[in-house]
Amino acid sequence: MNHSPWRSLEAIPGFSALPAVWRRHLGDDFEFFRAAFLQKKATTVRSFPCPRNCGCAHCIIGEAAPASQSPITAICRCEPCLCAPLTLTLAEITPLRLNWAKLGRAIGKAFGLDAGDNDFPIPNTRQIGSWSSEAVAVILTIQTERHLLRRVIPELALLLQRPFILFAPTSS
Amino acid sequence: MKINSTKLPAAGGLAQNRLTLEPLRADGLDALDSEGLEGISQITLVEIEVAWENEFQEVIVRKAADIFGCAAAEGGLYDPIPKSGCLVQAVFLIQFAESAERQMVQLRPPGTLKIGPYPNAGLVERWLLTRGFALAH
Repeated sequence: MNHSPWRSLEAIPGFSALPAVWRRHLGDDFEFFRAAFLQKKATTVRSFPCPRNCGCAHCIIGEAAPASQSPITAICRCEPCLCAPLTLTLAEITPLRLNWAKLGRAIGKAFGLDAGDNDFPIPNTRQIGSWSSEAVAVILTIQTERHLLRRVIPELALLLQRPFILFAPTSS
Repeated sequence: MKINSTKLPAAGGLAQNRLTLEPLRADGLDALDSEGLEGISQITLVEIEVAWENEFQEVIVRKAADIFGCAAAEGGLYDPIPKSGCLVQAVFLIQFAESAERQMVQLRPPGTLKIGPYPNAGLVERWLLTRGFALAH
């Protein structure tokens, strides 16, 4: 598996997934990336990805409240059932979500951008700074599919009606 | 959707192989090319299930009489096989040269293959091996 963080972000719609999934995608970079750009969500999930990577999800049973002492178990729902039940910790079923602001600031710092972020009414697209004395808007967009990226570009052009710089991971 | 007779898991000539759907993503329509596959005149993808391991364990199932044809008819507006996500299952309709009716084949990696009437199983297996759907362990 290619452990590029950009590829990982393109592969996880919503940029929120369980630690085990991020770890598989990011490999050795997981701990660094988690500390730098991921944040814990306040909620837990009700299903856990199958360790066999077959695309199915195991159903989590048991109370997942922080104070609960009972074990958290995930059971296979396949017919026929192929996996043994998994015993999980609260941390393992707490999703980690991308912190866009931190990622934007890091990119801005790397490219020497002027600070300033801004949300757009365009999914997964955000201004992360500006460039030069003309304050050209620098935009980051992360799309999971090519046709979504193609849609974002004209939307940005119509919305901004001025030159802009666009950063977008493109898988390969 | 009904499949008359099933083989589960992949048996016969593919018992030692790992099944994958990645040729659909890598080769697109070429993965369904029946040229050089004697006994098969046409292979059509009619269903694909894709799963993402995001927080919500998102799954989409795309069905059409011809998934690649449908995407092409819309001018290539979207990728018929998403570029990300796990290809969980696909259903194909295969037109065999000796059969009047198309036959349904369901492939679910890494080891499940459901085929209709048994006599054509060898042809299906040859297609899967030739186009990279069945890999050596």
